[in-house]
Amino acid sequence: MHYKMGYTHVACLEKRLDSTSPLSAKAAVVDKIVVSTSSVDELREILGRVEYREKIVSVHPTSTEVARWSAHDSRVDTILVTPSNLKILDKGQVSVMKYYDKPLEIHITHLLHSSSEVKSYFYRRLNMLVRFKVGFVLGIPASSVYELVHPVVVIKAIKTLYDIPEKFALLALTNIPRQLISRKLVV
Amino acid sequence: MLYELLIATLILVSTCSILLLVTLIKLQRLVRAYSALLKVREESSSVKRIRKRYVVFAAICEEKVRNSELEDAVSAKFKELFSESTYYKASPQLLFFDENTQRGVYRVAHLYVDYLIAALGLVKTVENKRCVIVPLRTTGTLRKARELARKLKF
Repeated sequence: MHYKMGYTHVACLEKRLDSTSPLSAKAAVVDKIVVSTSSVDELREILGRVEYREKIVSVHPTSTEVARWSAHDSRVDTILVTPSNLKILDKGQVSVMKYYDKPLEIHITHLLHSSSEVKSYFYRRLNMLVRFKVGFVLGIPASSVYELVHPVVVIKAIKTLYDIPEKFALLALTNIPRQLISRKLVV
Repeated sequence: MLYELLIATLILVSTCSILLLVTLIKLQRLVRAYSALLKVREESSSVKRIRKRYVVFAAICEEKVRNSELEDAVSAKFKELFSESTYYKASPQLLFFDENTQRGVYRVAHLYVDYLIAALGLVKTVENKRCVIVPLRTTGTLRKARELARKLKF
């Protein structure tokens, strides 16, 4: 179903491949790890243990220090931003991320089903990312087929609700995540 | 006496010329502002008439859904996302929905196609049945839309 919807590369926390379906073989699936921490030492320790060459490593920083540190660490693939840690994403963080070419990860559900206050935060942050030309990845936390959102719908929704240019929204669903996943597939 | 008259004339002439210069500058600004206003008006009136667009979609649901149920779900989602005023302006109408193939066509004002596609795709439940609505194509004529709804593969 992922493949039918247009998702050819998938990074997920739990892999459950249906070997009977011929379409499931067409989609490239990679493991993903989310590290949520507020201390740099803990993050350093976890990253030492993680197989970062094979898995997508996403850091969910709960402090500014961790956010800055993970922005310049090459083992970290994306920095996950949720409504709980939205305030770590300031101008300084964005410029560090631009310098080290580190993409930001945002989940669609947070953009669509949050409170108005959180949405306004996201609006300002997303437009700041566009202004700074920092790439971001749009993730869809779906555990079943009915939770999936069609990529075209995602682009149109981001364009109409958050005034993000279609070009940036398209990149967030295609080029940037594909580069991350195919890097792991080569290894 | 003649000398004083000459000086007075000179002062008068210089005052007049300064006044004329100031007036000219003001007039130039006015002309600039007016031409900018005209330009903006021209740009805003570039949409001469609202055209129609037809969005072909497919519904993938747990159980088959009915025409009215789907229409209610989509309009509720549209209003939730983009407010009621945008809904009136967009005026989306479900023209037909084949309950066997679960495919249909929506008509919407051309300025609000993106809004409708976003609202369609974000509908997750129709009458407590879990659903995914996939927008397939957008066309300019109903005939072509009907054809695509019949022929398109998903």
